[in-house]
Parts: sequence; structure tokens; C-alpha cells
Amino acid sequence: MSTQATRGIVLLPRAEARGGTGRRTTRPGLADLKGKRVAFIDDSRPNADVVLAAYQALLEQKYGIRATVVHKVDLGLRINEALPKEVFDKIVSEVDAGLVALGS
Amino acid sequence: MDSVQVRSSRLDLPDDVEEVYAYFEANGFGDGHPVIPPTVERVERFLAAGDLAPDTEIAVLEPGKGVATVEKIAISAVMAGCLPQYMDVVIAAIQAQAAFPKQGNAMTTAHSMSPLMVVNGPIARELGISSGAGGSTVSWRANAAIARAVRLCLINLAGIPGSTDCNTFMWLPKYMYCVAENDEGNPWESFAVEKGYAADDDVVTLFWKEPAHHVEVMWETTPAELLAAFSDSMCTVASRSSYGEGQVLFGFCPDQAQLCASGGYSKKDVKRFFFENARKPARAYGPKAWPHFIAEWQKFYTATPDTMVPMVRSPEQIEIIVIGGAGPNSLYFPHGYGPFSRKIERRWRAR
Repeated sequence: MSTQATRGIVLLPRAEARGGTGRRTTRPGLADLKGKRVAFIDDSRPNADVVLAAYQALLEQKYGIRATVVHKVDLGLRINEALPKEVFDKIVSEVDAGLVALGS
Repeated sequence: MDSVQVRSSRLDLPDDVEEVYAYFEANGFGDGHPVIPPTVERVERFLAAGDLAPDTEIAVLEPGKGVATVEKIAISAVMAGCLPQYMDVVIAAIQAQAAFPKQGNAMTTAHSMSPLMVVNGPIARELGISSGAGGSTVSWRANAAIARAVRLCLINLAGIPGSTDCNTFMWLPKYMYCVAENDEGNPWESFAVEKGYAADDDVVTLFWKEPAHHVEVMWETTPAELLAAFSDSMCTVASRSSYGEGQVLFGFCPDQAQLCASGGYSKKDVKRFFFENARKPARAYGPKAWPHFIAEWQKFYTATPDTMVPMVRSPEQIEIIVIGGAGPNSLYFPHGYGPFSRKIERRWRAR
């Protein structure tokens, strides 16, 4: 039945995103990681330290990064609390890239 | 509206339920259930029953920044099985969702929440929106279709395909979390009147809520004993509201609301009772809890281990509605966000 029915009459439910796809890119990626300073931001969720330590070890061994680890708990921040602007700006001024665990 | 022409892109599909269902599921347009194919003819007929132009922009929804026009909302409403006259509620609910400052976070979190819509006013009865009585044995088209339309709007207009909903658990209210307040059984002012609306205003209020907890007291109690039992059900360490964030909602059944009212308890009194009695000792949280508490909340943890920690920041973070039918059963909606209320404008008529 369906092969004989008129096609092209069903409407797309999805909408255009305002300002593009909704995906955001803030700056170009790094050309390589060797010697680059990378911040690992631990939001203190369970196992965030484990995951970040694994990535840190991998990136140090394979790509030669220099790591800086930032623990939100040491800053007196909650899991869902954003880094204060001055802390964020300081990290940005000191590193080339940052890695943060999101979700749980 | 006399003549309507839709502008949405057309898919290479026929008006065939099975083919559209398969295609929509494969492309992330659906919610797992079969849909009514949103054909040009159906959507145009749907839009013609209202008086808003199809390209009228209702909201921009986070995180995908999809533009929720009347036409796109109508497409989801058709898919969900709505009648045209449900559109007024769906549109108001989308406006309420857009007013939620953390809507993007709610759409992406691992925290298992979904929108809960509470409808007040004459429109609830006119559309047949149930207050929930007999929900286990009777299906209610208006409740189901309105809730599903909002969910399909969020999937198609707010989400980024394949990457947004990170809930740890999928759960049933994702499909049907829409209820009318039980005006006949409510001994207090309605929720909408409490929030400043007129008694004959049509209002939809949107919360984001965890799964509800059935609370039941089978035996005869005084109002204070009943509220103490409910308070015990409300206090738990394992709830985000107990870290000081968000709010909680209590859905009284009519009988238990009337018992409390007969004892002289206003809604404000009940909220105060819950705030003062639904508490846990600080020691119950364990030594690593404090970073999870909001700053204001940490005072409880730095006090003695016996300090009693309330479940919310103040009585104002406790909301009360009256829903459901007969029986000694109420519902506690533990943690979430809201309320976001919108007056429902009557723009659609039955066709």
C-alpha cells in the first residue's frame, strides 16, 4: 500500500537552530600537544579523579604534555558550581588547554 | 485562520504509520511510540483551527536553540495525538519551559527528571484533562497527548540529536506527566490562585521533577499525625534537595488534604510543618558530603552532628497541589525545579 501512496507529504518535525547547529567552538584546537600545559579540572564527582588521572597519564606518556591538576573541592566549590571568573581567568592564563569531566 | 500554508521541509515519506514510525525512530524524531504522521494536510488543518500564524515564534529552546514556532509545535502535537484545542496548553507549556533558567541543564543532566505539567482553570474540564484519579486503569487522551507533545517538542526543538538526554534512567513520566488539579476535592485555594492568578484563569505550571513517591497512611490519624508521617517520607539523605538545591512538591489526595484543612491547617501551615519536621541529622550525610551542599547549607554540616538538616532552604521551596481521587494515598515529588506558570491564552477551537 505504502509504495503506491503519495510521498513527500510528511513534514520534518525538527527546527533550525538559532545561530547555527547549537554546537560551539571557542578557539582553534592545538596543532600538537608536546610540552603544552594542560589543566585537569576535577569536579569531585565520584571517579572524576580516576578518569582524569588516566587521561593525564596517557597524555603525558603519549604526547608529552605538562599537567596541572585543579580540584574544585580544594577551592571550596560544589560539583555544580562554576569556577569563579578570577580562578577561570588565572587557569586560562597559565595553560594551553583544559580538560574537565562533565556529567556523572 | 482561513488559509494556512506550512513551510517546513517535506520528507520523502507517504502517509503510512509504519513507514513514518520506522523513519522517525531511525532519525531520532520520535519517543519510542508510534506517531500520527504529520502530513501537510493534517498540520494545516490543525493550524487552521487556531489564530496564530504558523511562523509565530513561541520560544527558543535550550540547549539546541531550536526555534519553537507554532508550526513546529503543531507538528509535534499532531504526532502525539493531540486534538487541535490542546494546542493552547502545549504552547503555554513551551513558554513555561523557556522561562526555566536551567532548561539546558535539565535537558542534558544525568539526573532523572522530566517536565511535570499541572493545569488549573476551566480549560482542564473542557479538554478532559484528568486530575489523575483511576490512572492505573483508565487512559486519558488529553493528559497523555499534551505531555507527549511537549516531550516531542523538546526532543525535536530543544535537543541536539543523539547527544543531549543523558539521564541515568529512563522512566515512565517522560511520557505522561500532565495532571489537572482536583478543584472539587481541594479544600484550599487552587495552586494558580495561590500564585496570584484569578480563579477562572486557565494556567499551566511546569516543574521539572524526579519520579513521584507514593505515600500512604491507611489508618486513622489526626492531621498532625498524618503530616508527621508524610514528613518522615520526605526526609532522605539521598536527595539533591537535601543539599539545599531546588524545591519539592507534595501532591495531596483530596481526602488527606481535607483532613488537614479540617484541622485548621492552611497550605502555608503545611509547608511550615514539612520544613520543620522533614529533617535528617547532619551525621547521616557522612564526612564527604559538605562540598555537595550549597554554601548556605554548609552551616548545617559545620554545626554539631545532631543538627537537623531540613530538606529545602525554606518553606517557600515546598509547593502543594491537590490531585487524584479517593483513597488514603498521596504523592511526593522529591526534588526538582519550578514552578514556572503561564496563563493559557485561548486561541484554538475544536474542529
